[in-house]
Amino acid sequence: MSELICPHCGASNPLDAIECKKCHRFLFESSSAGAPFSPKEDDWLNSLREDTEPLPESGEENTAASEPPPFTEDVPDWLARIRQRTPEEPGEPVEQPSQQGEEEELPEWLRDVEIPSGKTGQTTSTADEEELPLPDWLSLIDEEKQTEGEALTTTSEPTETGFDRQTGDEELPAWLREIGIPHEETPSQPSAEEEIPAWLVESTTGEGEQPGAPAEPPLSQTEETDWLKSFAAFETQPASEEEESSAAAPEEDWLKTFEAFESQPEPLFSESQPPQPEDESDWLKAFEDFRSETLPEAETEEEPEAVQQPAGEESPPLESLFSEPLEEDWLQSLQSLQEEVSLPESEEESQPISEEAEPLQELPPLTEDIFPVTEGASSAFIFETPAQESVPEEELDVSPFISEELPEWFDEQVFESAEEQPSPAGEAETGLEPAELPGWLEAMRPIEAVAPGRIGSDDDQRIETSGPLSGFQGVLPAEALVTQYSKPAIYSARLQVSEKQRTYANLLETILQQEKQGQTTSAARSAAPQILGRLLVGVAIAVIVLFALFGGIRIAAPPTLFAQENVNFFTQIQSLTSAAGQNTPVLLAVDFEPALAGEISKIASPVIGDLLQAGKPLAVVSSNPTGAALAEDLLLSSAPPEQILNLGYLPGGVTSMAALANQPAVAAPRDRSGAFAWDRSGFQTIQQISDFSAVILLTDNTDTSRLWIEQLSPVLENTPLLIIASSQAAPMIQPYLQSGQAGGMLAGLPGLAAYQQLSGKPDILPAGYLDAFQAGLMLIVVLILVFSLYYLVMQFIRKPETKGK
Amino acid sequence: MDVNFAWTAVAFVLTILTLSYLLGDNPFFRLATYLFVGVSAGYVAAILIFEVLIPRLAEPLMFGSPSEKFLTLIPLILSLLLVFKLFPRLSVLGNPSMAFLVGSGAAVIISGAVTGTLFGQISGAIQPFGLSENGDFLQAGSQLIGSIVLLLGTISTLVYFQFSARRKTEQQTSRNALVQFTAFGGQIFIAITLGALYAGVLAAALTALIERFDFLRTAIQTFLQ
Amino acid sequence: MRAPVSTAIAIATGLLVLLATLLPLPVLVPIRQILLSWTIPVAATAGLIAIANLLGVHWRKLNSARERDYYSSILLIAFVATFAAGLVLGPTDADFQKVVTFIQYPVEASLMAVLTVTLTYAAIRLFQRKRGWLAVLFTASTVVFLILLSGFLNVGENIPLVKDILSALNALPLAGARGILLGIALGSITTGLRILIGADRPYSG
Repeated sequence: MSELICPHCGASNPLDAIECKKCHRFLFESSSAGAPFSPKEDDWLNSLREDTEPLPESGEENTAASEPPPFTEDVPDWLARIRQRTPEEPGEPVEQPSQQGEEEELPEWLRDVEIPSGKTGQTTSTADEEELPLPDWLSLIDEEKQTEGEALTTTSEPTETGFDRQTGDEELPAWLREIGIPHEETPSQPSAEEEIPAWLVESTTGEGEQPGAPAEPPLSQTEETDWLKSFAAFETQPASEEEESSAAAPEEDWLKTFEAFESQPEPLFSESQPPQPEDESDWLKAFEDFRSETLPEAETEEEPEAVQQPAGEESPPLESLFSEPLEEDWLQSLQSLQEEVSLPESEEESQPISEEAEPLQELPPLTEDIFPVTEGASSAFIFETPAQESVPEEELDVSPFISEELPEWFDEQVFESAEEQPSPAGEAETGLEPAELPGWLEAMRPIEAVAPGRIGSDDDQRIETSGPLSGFQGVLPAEALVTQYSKPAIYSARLQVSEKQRTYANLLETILQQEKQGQTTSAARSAAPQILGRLLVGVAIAVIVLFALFGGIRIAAPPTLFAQENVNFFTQIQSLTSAAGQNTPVLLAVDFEPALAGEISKIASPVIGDLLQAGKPLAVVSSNPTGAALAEDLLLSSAPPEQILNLGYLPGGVTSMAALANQPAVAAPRDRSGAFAWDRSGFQTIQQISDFSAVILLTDNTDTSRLWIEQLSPVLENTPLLIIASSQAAPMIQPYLQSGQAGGMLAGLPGLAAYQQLSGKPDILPAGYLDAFQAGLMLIVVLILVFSLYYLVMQFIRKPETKGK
Repeated sequence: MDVNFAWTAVAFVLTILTLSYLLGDNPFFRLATYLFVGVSAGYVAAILIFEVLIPRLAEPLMFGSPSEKFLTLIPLILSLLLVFKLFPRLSVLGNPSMAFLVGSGAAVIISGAVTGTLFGQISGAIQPFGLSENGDFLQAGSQLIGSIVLLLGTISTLVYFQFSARRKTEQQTSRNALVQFTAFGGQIFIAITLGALYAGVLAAALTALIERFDFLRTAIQTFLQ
Repeated sequence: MRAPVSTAIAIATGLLVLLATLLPLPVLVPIRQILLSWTIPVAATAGLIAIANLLGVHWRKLNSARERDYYSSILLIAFVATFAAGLVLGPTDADFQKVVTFIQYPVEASLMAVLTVTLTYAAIRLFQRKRGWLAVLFTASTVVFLILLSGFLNVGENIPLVKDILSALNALPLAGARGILLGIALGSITTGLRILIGADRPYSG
């Protein structure tokens, strides 16, 4: 072609002409409409961008309606918006959309789609909305747009300024190229709605609102439905009204639209239903009637948009396929074609598209395309919605409508079950019979209506209740992903922390820090040096003790000065043993464990021996289970049985001590053998604890010794409480001795040595014990002093180094 | 083989096994300790049954007078209820028995602490101030000083355990300066007392070590005979 | 209120015992004695339950698939043997009491002997871990009383000054010990009173 024919006056113009030199009307308007495939329109994604172009004829309301920028918002938000609208939408009467159309010509999802194009600057979204981050799957689209920004720009620009066919041909796939060629020659119709096809203009502006276009669209605007408006968002190439006059050109448009659906699933589920005009096209009415007949009302209310939206998406191709005169008739013919035509895809791809607007009868090749298209559209619509779908460029190589990509079950049942789920939109519509429902509309019905099983994974059982995917189940995995990966909500509310809570928090932090440090040091330590050190210390002590014990070396001098408690103890024992005529029993309270039985028995043996020798009856009671046996074996083995009353073990701790202190005969009525204790001779005089001539406490425990003293001392009156204690319990018994609550005490080997010295019996203390004791303790003292000094010196040495550092 | 010889050999082996802990934790040491725990549990169980439960519960119920039976019935019920403590789901049923033990024990401890320690130790703290009439002035003076030191030490130690403090601004708590100073003195006395206790434990342990060495020597002599 | 019956029992028992101690009326004293005598078999049962629980723990450890403790079998066998011997022989049997004198006693005394080395080693390393005047004072006190206990100064006891010093040193722990005892007593009273008024219910677990 060497010239351009003005679509308005038919005058010939050079190729580079922008406007007709005769009528001075723009040429490119018609060319853009007639040749919707711009040089880079092979990228179906570009069509989506183009779809987002503002609709100049939509007027201010339309602009306002396009304000919400869904792509610049968080997807969860708009998804949430869908869900928020869902309760309202089903209740909306389908017959009222004319009013809605007046108020907002574009459905909200369409407005959302418009924004990301960003080309025209007509996005009136607020700054806040624009700043909202895109979810990943949407940002992918955005990135595509950026990387192909040039292409997108040229996609629209050629449509406005002229059509660069050569460039477009280079990037177009063969089948699209074939489609695109006839558009170049399609006579264009100048229109103010340069970038928008007439049907879309009608759909977006609504009936009666649209200012008269330069060229009247073949399809009446008043018959447009709002769901058709929604399709404008997915229209690849905004076309002029001329496309209605060309069968081939619209076909390309709707093909692009399907491509957009195929690889760009987000808009499909991004928006709510468009408002329904009152006077929908007849064919749609028929469709809706059909749905109203087959779908129960409740179901209709639940999924009011299920069919509308897909129908809106699919309708443009149909409108573009057929010129204006077809209008409703084409549906019938299409329905008949549905049954007749079934061509392989290869044929579809290779089928040249007529350059001229052809009547329906001339469309066998075209109709061959239709059914794969309808099937493919459905399949792409349904199955290729996941965000991780392949890149558009790749999909251009293979037609998105290839039925081979469909699941087998879908191919089989897409038409079979389509009639089972009528559209809720048709609930209020009457007129057409169900038989007139075209196949492609059936194919676009909610997936659950045609699918025998569930779509998607078992995990995703959510059913969309609004938007174009209304009624679909598990087809929006992206929503869950977007929700999952969306930025966490930022709460502006400040955490109110009281001072007390802050203090606790700081305290907890300090504790945790200390714990961490402690773990570090403990982890750094090794058990081996400890074992070695302990072994060395043990060996040193053992050597010294063994040497002193068995070496025969006398290093320990007997004490010459005695502690007051030792003297008092000896004095009390002496007074007891000296009163030979009074054989009042002595109570031995055994409160020591086998661990220190060696020490206690060594101390107690001479004392008990003196008492037994003096004929004193001994009553033995124990506050621990082994006490009685230890007392018998270690202390009383040599005593005559009649002199010993072993009351055994008194469980209960302090309560049994109190019981014994209050009334010994009640607390311990029997001896170990089970015989009544207090009937025995020598013990019959005991009614209360103070009846004993003395109470001797054998203890190695600071706590139990305190309990014994606490319980016994208030009730003993003049009976002395004498204590034979281990060295470890002695310091805590000292106050009771000093206060007079205890009469005397022998503690440890020093106490035994004192008793030995006081009693004048040199053989009380086993040979070598005191020497080993003294040697061992002095060795321990030396070790402690040496190592303590060593560590102190090391500390002073390291300190300056640390300070220096 | 003499029974005592066998028992001595057992005691000897167990002593060696236990002392092997100086080389670190080892199976021999564990063997001795587990054996010890098992034997102790068995012995205590037998003691409790034969020396407490049978004479105090079983015999009065079987052979006692009606009043004895009645008086024995309550501890028997309490004892049976206590058995439910073995079963987690029914352990609540044992709570009354535990409450009986705790309540009586608390009362005994209160009375013992008041009459045995509070009165006694307060009296003991005052007692040294009753100067002996027979002593000379120097002796009386040293006794007085000693008594004051002991009293101050006792008070300061008690003050050290007084952990309540007045809260100031910024959540900082601080004790009174006098209290702080007194508590500081209490720390000194507590450190001295704990040092004495530590020395006492060491002395007791060393005595046990000496006794064990003596036993080992005796046992070896027995074996060699 | 949690465990009202148990709380009532604890409060009633405690108040009766305490009243009988503080007000030794003829009516209250026998009641106190009876109540205290009842505690003995109940406490014995508690001891048996503790033993049963111990055996249960070791039985589970023995049968545990993850952390099987074969030493628990030794414990269980030792228990069974000892308990059986006690049932057969009786607790007062001389042979049965050898369980204490030839098994428990050697092991416990040996453990105490090992404690000598452990405590010495800990005292040696005290300055390696803890520094400060309290550690110094504690170590000094330990050393001084070890020397006093050893009798190393017995030789110089006849020296007047040494005698006075030793007497003063021996009296020094008394002040701290008395303060500790008073603190323990006050704490015991507080705890006991909280139990008697029902503020603390350690038995309701």
